[in-house]
Amino acid sequence: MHWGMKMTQSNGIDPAENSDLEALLEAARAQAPQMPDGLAARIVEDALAVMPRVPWYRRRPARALAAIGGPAGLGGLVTATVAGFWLGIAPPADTVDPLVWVGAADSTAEVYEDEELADLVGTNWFGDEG
Amino acid sequence: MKDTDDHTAARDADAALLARYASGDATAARVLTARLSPRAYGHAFRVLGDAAEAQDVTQDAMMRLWKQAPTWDAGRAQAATWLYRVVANLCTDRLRARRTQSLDAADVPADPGPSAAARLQTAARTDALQAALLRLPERQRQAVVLRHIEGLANPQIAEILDVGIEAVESLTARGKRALAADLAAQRDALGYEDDTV
Repeated sequence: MHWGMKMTQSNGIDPAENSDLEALLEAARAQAPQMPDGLAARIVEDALAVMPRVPWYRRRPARALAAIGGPAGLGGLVTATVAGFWLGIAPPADTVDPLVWVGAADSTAEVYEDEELADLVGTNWFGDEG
Repeated sequence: MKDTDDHTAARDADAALLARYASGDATAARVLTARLSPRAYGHAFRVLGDAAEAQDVTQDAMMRLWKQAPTWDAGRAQAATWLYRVVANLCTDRLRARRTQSLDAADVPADPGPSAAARLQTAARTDALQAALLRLPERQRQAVVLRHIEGLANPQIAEILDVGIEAVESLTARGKRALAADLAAQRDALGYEDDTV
């Protein structure tokens, strides 16, 4: 410590005094006041006491959405569902019939002509127009 | 530039934790308590010089943070800056109340320095610094603690104390000069010559 030595002034503070003060401030920075035992626990208790309670019906959709991959996953799921539903209503003519696999149908079934397919699906997408 | 990045990252992290807390995540409350409350307590203790009062201020300030969480704006100030500001204001209120009590009580000495210093239980040199801090005018004390002990930047301190940056520079410079002079004057009384042997 140099508190008794008066030297030239620098920025309003004696250099020796400034050096001592910096040392004390450095020590204070290194040794922050420690929180008393139990204070952090009391603060957390306070937090939990006033924590907003989110209703289950607002939490569950968010969790379910996250479980399937978020909005992108939901989009894929919807697309696959619609596509499957459509294939169920109007299967392509050359789809392998599962009944053939189990021997319950003739594997030499006729291939539908475009006109017959149009009758089945209600529109003639595959025929010539005009 | 790095300070700005760090500041932004800390602000975003705190905002995300507050949002998690507001949606019912108890873990976020624990993480925020660990991140913020030691700084709040440290500042309150340095400014008030009293552990019991610093505890009350910290608990009160954190409670205000929990209540703000559901409406917290992620683009606003960093949660730590907001909390420092609340702590600074609560400390100011308590110091004003102390002054009123001192004026009311005839047997209480006008100078709170020696009694405040006597309450401290830390090492002798920390006591000396703390006692000198407690003898500073309140605004200078807050500014010096925030700048030279908590290590905050002047713009952040200006936001906390609700003053301009030039005022912060003035407060910290005057505060530091006063601290140096006070500590120099205390040298003999504090027995600093003994430990030079």
